[in-house]
Amino acid sequence: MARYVIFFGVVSLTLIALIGCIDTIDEIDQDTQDHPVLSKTIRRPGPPEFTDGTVGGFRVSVINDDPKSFNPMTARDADTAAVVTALFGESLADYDPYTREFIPNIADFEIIVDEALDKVQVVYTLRDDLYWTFVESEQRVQVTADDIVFWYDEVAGDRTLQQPGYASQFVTMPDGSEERISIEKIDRLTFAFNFPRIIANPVLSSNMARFGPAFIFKEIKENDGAAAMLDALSVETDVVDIPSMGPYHIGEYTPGVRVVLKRNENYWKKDDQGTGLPYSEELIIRIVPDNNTEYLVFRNGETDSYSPRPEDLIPLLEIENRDFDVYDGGASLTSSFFVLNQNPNTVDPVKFAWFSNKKFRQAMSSALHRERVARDVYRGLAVPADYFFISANPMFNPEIKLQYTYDLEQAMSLLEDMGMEKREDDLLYDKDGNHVTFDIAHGVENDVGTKIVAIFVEELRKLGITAVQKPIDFQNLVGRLTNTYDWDMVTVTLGANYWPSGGSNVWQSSGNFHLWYPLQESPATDWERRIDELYNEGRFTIDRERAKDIYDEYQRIILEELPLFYIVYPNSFLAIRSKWGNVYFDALGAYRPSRLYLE
Amino acid sequence: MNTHSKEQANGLNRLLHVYREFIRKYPLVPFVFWRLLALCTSLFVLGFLVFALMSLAPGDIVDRFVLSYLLESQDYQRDTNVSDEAIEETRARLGLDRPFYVQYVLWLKRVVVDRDLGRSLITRAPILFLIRERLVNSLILNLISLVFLTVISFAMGVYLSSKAGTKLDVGVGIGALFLHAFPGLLLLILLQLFAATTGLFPVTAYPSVPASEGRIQFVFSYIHHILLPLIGAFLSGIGSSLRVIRATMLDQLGKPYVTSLRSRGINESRIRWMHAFRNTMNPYITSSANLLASLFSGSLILEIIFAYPGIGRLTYQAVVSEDVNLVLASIMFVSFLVLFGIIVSDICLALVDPRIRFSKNK
Repeated sequence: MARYVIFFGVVSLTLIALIGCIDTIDEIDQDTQDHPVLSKTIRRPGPPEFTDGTVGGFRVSVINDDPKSFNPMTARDADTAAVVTALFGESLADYDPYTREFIPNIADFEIIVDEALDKVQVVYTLRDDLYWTFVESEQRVQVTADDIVFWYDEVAGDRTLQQPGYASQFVTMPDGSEERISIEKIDRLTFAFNFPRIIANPVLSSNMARFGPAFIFKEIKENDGAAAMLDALSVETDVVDIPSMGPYHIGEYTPGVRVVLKRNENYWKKDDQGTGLPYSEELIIRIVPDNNTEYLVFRNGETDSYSPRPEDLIPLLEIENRDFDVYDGGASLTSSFFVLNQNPNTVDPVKFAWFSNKKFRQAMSSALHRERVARDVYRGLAVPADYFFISANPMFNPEIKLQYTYDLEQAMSLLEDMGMEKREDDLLYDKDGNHVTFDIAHGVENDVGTKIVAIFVEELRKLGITAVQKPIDFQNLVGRLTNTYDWDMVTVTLGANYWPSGGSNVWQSSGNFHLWYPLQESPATDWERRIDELYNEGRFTIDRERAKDIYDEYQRIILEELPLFYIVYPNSFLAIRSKWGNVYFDALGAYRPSRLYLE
Repeated sequence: MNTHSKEQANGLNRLLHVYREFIRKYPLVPFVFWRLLALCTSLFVLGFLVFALMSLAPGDIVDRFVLSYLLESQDYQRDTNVSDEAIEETRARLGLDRPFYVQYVLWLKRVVVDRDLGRSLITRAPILFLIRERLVNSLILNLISLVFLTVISFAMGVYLSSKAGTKLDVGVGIGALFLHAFPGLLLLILLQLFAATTGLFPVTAYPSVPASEGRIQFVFSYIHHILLPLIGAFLSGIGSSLRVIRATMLDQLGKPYVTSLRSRGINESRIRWMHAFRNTMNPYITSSANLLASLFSGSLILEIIFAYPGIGRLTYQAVVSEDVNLVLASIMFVSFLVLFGIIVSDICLALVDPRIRFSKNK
């Protein structure tokens, strides 16, 4: 018997040894603000000052899923966009987040304002060296105003095709009606967008970020109808038939394995020496579905770049004689947030009385320990989200800051102002004797959200509030947010917003994603009415000083009323092989892969 | 009875006679026929259930589209694209506005009558294009696993039955029990971490260079990549199959016919391989069909963890994105393969054991 015990012990020890060889994976340093890890990273933010490189070599990157299409009309998810943007992702103008201004990209532009008629026109002139080309082919078709006009009118402007750009073709007139922004061709390379009234940011509203060739799509539409265009350039299309105006062509697509992009010799962008970009001859995009595998593949040296998660950082930086550097991009631009339901039609009346009181919302924000979330969830690699606009937003004002940061005494004081009190049982009751309790819903797949909610629940317990964590299937959660509206508190994330006029369907009381009380016939509260007014005034105000006043008030109201309150901005990181030169990295977009060259 | 009726009766008798003669000569034919019928029925019911389950899941592909629009497209000034009307239009265009059983009947008509698997709701690409290579990849992976498992399990099982009660037998038995109980998912993750730490194996299971860039290079690269995942699949399956074969062999070796053979002085090796081993085949052939099914379901995790471009990974992604056309086609193909495997195992069983083929027809 003893022999069997010894044998079993040996087997167990072997297994433990096997696990032991991976011990660095979970080593966590709980130290927070001055994180020692950051000292091992490189800070090289923009604005980038690129040096001229030489053409050669290939880069290997990763996407997590197969591209769904090679069609600019149907490319919606990030993995597909990673491929399609390399072919069709050339915008008319580019936004410089450092100067906070638009600059010419494939087209020069001029804004003509007629204040007397209350009209504005943006005239674009395309470069004359833009071509649609094909891999391993001499065929070149010049990009002209016809491409833009066709795409704007016949693709983005065709309501039946439900393109994301459709809604942005309309402007709300002073009488509340909607009028379309028209486009006219002026000559072969010049065209103009005519706005029915003056708006604050006409370049944003007319800047087409992605379009395809008219000579392909027009023929399909004429022969087979509009819907047939959606089926064009699918993943089964032979790569030699896929056009490109961008830095790469598709050279190969092996489903489930990889996409190989080959350098487009006819790409218009060049460095100061006149060398065409990108510098890499090939970009190999491997399809690796699992994030852990993606990490290991990078660690194994099989890929050139990787965006490390907080838990990957320490093991990566502990590797001795590593052939890669880790860049710290600082705080990212997106933050998840908590929001309380203020919909009187779906929320329990007792809870509605709490949630619709701004002191309750301020108390909730004061009970959210953002520093602890940064420390425990993001391992100290995040900063509290104390502002409403992100720093890249042209109307960002650093003086307008959240006042209701973590302070449980302040939270209790605000709750007591509402007539709430903590009794002997250590639970909080409202003035009618109802115990303060509610659910906090979050996507069950969201691990980070789960941890954040757990921390918040614990902090609320200190106030005597019973918050119940409610993980919900993501589809179900979306159904509740957009259809049934039956939730108490929820945490979700929205995309980063560079523009003060962004998020119309979130911030306007009539919006269908005005999370806390959507689709209002008329604003339910005075502050929402004021937000609507400011929002609409700001969109049509050209005078920068006046616009600043409008958006300052806008930010102050949001940070005072707190219909939703942001949590933290996690740091962003980039790990990239040291052999690549011209690496700049920050959250604003300093990283330009087309500028990378082999040193 | 008039002449016409008599002729009819005679004709019927002749037909019955021909049928009985045919059955007598080819007893396996009705056996296979009834199994193929069962296969078709199973596939029909399975498809119906898949459609029903997909319709029970909250939301659909249109909701997913609306969600991505709402979460990412905040710069737009109106909400036209996500109006109820637009959502219903999209749903109607994709045929998702009908009850699931109607969708299923239409799908069946398209597949059986028009012989068209349709297009993916997301990629708009033909389903056949999407699943063709992945199905072959999964089949190769699982057949290699099955062959390895079968050969090594038999070799070890038969050998260990001759060493019953020895230290080696007990040691291997404990090892088999341990592997049988060890979670397959954890084993795969540990093996992948082992590959990453030691650098002896790649952390993915498929070459990053396609076959078109040199077949020989691809084959060697494939073997190098697939070895570790195969070891994982092998270790996950060897525990149970080894124990089954060893136990069945021991059972056979204790039967009176073996004692009789020994008493007649027949060589022990001959008894073992020509008699006991042959009778061990029956339970293994029966269980090998289940083994194939479990390999297919197990390979889903392997394909995701080791980035192997197989049908399991594709099905998983289709389920997550609620691409019902792709889900149905993928599941039907895999189910067909598994059910076909069961039929093949039944036929093999009938071939090696006459009792089965004749008893079924009586």
